[in-house]
Amino acid sequence: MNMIYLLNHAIFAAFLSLITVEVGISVLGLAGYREYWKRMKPYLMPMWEINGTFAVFYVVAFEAMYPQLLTLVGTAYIAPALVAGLFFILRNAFLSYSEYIGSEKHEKRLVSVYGISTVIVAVLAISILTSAVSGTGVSVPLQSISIAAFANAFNILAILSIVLISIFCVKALFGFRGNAVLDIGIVALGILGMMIGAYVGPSYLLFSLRSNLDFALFVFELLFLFVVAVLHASEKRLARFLVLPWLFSAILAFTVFQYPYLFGMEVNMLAYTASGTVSGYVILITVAGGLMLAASLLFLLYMSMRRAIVIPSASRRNRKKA
Amino acid sequence: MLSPVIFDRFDMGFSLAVHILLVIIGMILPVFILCAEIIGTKMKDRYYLALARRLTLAFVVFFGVGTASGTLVAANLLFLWPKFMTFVGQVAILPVYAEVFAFFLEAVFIGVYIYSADKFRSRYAHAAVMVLIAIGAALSAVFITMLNAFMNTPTGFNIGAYLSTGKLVSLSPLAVFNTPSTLVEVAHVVATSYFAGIFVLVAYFAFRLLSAGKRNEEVRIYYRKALSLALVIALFATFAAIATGLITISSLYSIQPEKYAALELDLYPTSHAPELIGGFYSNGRIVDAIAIPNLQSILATGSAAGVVPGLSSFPKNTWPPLFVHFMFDTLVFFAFAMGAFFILLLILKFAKIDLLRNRYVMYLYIIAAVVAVFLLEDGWIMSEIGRQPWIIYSVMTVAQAANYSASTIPIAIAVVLFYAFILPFTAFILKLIFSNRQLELDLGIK
Repeated sequence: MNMIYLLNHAIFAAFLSLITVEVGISVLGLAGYREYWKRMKPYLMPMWEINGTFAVFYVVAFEAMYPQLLTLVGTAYIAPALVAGLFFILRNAFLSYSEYIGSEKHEKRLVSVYGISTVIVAVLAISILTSAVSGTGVSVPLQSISIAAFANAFNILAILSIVLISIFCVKALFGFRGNAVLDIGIVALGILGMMIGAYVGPSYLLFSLRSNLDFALFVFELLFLFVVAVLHASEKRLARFLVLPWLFSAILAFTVFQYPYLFGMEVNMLAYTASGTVSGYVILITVAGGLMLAASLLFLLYMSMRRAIVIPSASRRNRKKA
Repeated sequence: MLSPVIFDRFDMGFSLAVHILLVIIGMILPVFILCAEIIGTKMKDRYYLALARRLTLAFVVFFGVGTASGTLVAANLLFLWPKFMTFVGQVAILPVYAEVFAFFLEAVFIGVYIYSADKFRSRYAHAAVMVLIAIGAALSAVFITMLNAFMNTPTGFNIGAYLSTGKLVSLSPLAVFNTPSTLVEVAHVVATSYFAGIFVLVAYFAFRLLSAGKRNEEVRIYYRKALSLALVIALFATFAAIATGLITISSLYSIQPEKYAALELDLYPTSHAPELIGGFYSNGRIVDAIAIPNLQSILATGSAAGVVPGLSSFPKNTWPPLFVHFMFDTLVFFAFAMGAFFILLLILKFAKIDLLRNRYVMYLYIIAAVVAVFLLEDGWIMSEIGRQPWIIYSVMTVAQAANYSASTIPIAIAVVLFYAFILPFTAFILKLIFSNRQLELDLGIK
């Protein structure tokens, strides 16, 4: 498999995994502020900026790795992408407002706007994604799309399925205990929805399992999901640590199923890869930057797990009060 | 019917103008918070520590809105100018790509600084995290300015071969990090960003002191300390902005001669060139200008006999709009005014007028901040218009790069309406946050 393709889609999978979790957080936050939001907030607050930065990372990585596809993609998707951009600002703004607003009443309102904006961004992003995967409503020679064509079975089922999968992932990630059968039903329905959508829609490359590798990956992802679901249902903490790796690997597997095409089979991405000189440096920067990012994230994790340091004088005061 | 290119230009220009305002605050706040935290820790001064804590809240909000508007600008680049980005992607993408990691550095360590503040044994170690945030913010500006420098002085490929065949040959992707204008432009952009950003803080603290009225003396001390720190940083930033500005102008004549000639309104290459103040181009000549003999040649080349470039050396259809000369005059005038502002402060200080208490001086600070932000925006607009009609000088015109889709028109309108809502709303929310979290409580006097 082409190195640039794999790298680009690994970034894409990391970005989409984080955003999928945020979609789940938004939906559950809208559904039950008191029940869910307080427990999800400590995760979301240091992570939301990093999630947003992954969006930029993917866009710029695509620009660097497939420069000759930019005219087509840029011209065709201008309207949904820029509208998504405006809602992305709303998402950032309202979440940051909510953090220090103080009053719970105001916080709840601001969090609702954040949740709705995030879901709208996700719907637009999924629509662009399914359109680029399937080529539905896209005219490659004219470099244009029909927005009305977003209303196709594949896209609608993909949106619903991703929302369902995101709800399961968030429940597993935060260990929300409830009806285990319902949680497993949610994710099973999500996967089924994706598969039906891919079959009835024109995205025949997904799940066509053209090679043994595709088949093996597909079975592996289903088994992996089964393990996560069982661990979650049996209230094991391990489910929390496995859910994001599963999401990442599942998304990466989908991109392998699609390899190397875009817009159905109309565009072969390998023909548009950056030149050898540029791609060499792009790989170098990705590796160096990726290592720096990994080290920074580990430090963030280490610090967030560390106990707060109590100032001696304060603790003495507390003891006196007691 | 208006061409969609006009809307592309408007959308891009407007988004950038707004984004720049958020960027300057996002760049200066880490530096300011860092200084306040170090001084507060070293001197055990609760005013400076409260200052660092409270400004961190504002920083998070500005960072949230600023990074998202930056994402919109990045999307605008791709969607409004797809052919430009196709070209950049093949030749000059590396600084843009590296900028993502500077952005990550900032985003991750903001998380550490804010949410793990109580987990550091040493307050200096906590402050050191802000150093990384400040470096991330500055590096973002450095990398993105490198792309702008490439647009002004493209390099890293065979331009002649590209213009004649449309093919990119002799590619050198690292050349974008060191174009002829990179060093000078990066230095000036970073210096002016800090300069305008710190004056926004100066204006804010001056305004708060004006409106503090009869509030607790402790509150007034807090704002006075904040203002004095901001003024010290402003002094250094102004010096850096003026020094790099002078170097930028004097280097323009050799590396961007067409832009230089338009800014100076030079029609013909000439020695003993006068500095023209005001004036217009009319019927092939310059009218109504005040000329200071020899000054331009001396400033640009160091000698009255030095030859400066003229517009006649370039085809008339590539001349930038000549009103950039007026913008340049305005910029120079206000830059001198900012220098005069500090001299005036010095005189007032000698006249024993309290620079942290006098109401009229507070008004002066607010006016200076308006001028500082105007200078930054004027400089950027002048620089971009000065490159017209090119998006990449002598390689690709704006019209060639544009997206001609009709959907750019409603989007441009939506972007304006959106910012018209989000910016005042952000200010309103910040006011609400700070009124909910009283300063007296942060200072421990309530």
